Amino acid sequence: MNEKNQILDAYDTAFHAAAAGLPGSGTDWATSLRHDAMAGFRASGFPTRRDEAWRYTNLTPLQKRPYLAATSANEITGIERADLPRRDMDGARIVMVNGRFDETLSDLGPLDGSLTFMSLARALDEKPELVEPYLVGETGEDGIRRLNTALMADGSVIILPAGARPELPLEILYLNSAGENAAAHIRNLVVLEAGASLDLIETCRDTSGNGSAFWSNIVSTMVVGEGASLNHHQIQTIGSEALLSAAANVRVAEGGHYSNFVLTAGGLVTRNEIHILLQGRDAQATLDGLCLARAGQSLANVTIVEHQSPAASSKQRYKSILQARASAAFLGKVVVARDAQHSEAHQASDSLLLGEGATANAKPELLIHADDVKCSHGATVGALDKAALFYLNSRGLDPAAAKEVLVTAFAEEILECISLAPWRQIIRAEIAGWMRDGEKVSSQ
Amino acid sequence: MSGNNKAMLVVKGLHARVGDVEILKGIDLEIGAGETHAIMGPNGAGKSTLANVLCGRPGYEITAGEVSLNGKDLLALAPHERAGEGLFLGFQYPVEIPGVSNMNFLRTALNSLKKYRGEEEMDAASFLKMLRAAAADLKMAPEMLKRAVNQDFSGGEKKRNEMLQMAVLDPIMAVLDETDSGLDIDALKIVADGINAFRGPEKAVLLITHYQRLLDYVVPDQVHVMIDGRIVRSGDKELAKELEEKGYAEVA
Repeated sequence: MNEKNQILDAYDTAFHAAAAGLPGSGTDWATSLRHDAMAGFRASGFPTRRDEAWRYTNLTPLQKRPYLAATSANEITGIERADLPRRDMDGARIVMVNGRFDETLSDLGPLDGSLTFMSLARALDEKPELVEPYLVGETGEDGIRRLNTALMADGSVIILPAGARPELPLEILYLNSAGENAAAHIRNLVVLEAGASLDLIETCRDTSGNGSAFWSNIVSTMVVGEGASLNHHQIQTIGSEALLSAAANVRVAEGGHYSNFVLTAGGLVTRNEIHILLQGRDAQATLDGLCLARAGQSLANVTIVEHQSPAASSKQRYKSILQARASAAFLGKVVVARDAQHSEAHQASDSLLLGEGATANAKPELLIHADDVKCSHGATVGALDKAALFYLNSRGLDPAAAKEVLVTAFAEEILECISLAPWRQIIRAEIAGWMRDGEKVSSQ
Repeated sequence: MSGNNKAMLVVKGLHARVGDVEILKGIDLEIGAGETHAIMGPNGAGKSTLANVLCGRPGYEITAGEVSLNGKDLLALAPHERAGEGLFLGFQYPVEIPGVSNMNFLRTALNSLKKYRGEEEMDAASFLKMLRAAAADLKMAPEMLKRAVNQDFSGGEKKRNEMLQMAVLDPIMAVLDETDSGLDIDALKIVADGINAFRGPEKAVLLITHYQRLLDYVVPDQVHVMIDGRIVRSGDKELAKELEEKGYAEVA
């Protein structure tokens, strides 16, 4: 038996051992959904670099050993309130530890009265009819999502009724404290009914500080109703050995707007995938991302935006800053359907290489079936401008300060689009911290 | 070569090359405190190379010679340290820096210089007051201070911005590389006013120019003619007029 099969068998065995205890096990549709997904995973295995969409994702860690969901709901995680990252914004916070909702660490007091929150585990056990329409038929398009469907242990179900517009943002914080090669399969469901609006923050952090090889596998389904507006902000600063695969399936109805900003600044491998269906007229998507990659890291943003109705618009801007021997990729596909006339789709990706052996890949892909559309894409990969560096030096900035000014300016352009002001400050601080750490690493 | 003033910039036997091509073939130059010198010469004479070498731009190899500013060996210093010692280069082609506002750039630069000199940083309010006054002197619109450094500036605006930097950073020795090129007559006058305002008993200026035009407004103490990497003739301001009438070939 080869290594690949041994690994798949390990997942299969773990699944069958755990299945009866997984949430929703008392419900037929949930049980068969999980079993179908596991059978699908067993047949497909993990994606490989031969799959075009996965070509630039480092899958080696997943192919070398199984990452098993070792934690159970009542396990003591060892994380206390004092360990939580400082809050820089008001609003409610949902805390997931090792992939499970932790009510005592969460801060649900400020939760807006109009908003329904329930953990996925509870929803599957107590109100399966609430989540059924969003889960059935969603076994996943690849091995990683299939595994998520089979093993999903918890997540957040967030529902906003028509017209509800909470003022404060809602944060979901993911923390990991489990041992080596553990995994969390998280499934979220965010539904905004017509005219609703929400600032949703997702923060992935490593609190252990020991950089354990933990795999977070997060799949989210997001539904943006007519005229609704979901501002989705993500910050990903996981440990140096950790893996993160985050996938969001987003549907946007007429006049709705989904916006996403993701800062990725950690992990051995981080892959963000967003698949958006602009289903209604005038539906909009605004996607921005900044990757800060260090040596040995492999970070990727993958987007698929499907314009399915007339006058829908999408705008994407991704940037990456890479230290020596780091790798970052942007794969962006835009599909404009035949009757999605007057669509507007713009896409740009820029990468800044700061050291030897850094690799940036950009793969824009436009499939346009309508004839009256405005679409554009552009990609740049380059090093710091030597003329600009000398200009700054000649004005008195030492080489490190000149570099910091130029790198910050490169990042700053993408921060301008962040509407949530405190969030912009948080991102700025993350970038400054990353640059300082980078200097330490490179000067050692 | 200098008058009776204390020597500030001293260049002795300076040779420099790019790759295998020798461009400066032995430059001797001495500029005293309070003096303004002009270097004129045809294209390819090495004028801009001299400016770049003085300020430490990478890409040039110094094969012989010495350069000092107030007795300090400039060639041993990195570009930012030369700036710290009071040297300023006005660029022929000022660089655009997207994402960095003119104001922040100038404040960072000024505080870097102050840090190098062991002086206290300037607080934001005093800096802003000083910057606004300097911009007004150069007839620059306040909104130019908020825009990204030189981005989408016209040729004249870029040169005016160089003068603003000179005024704010307040060096002791300014090397101005074709600061007059690409300017219409009104902009030329403003830039010339900026240079004249900078001049003073403790300052020195080296103007590098193709044309005599600027020298009508900024009257130099000495004029040097540079041809093929050497200074072939030096004289007073009348030399510039002679050059304009007869051309380089005849004068040299």
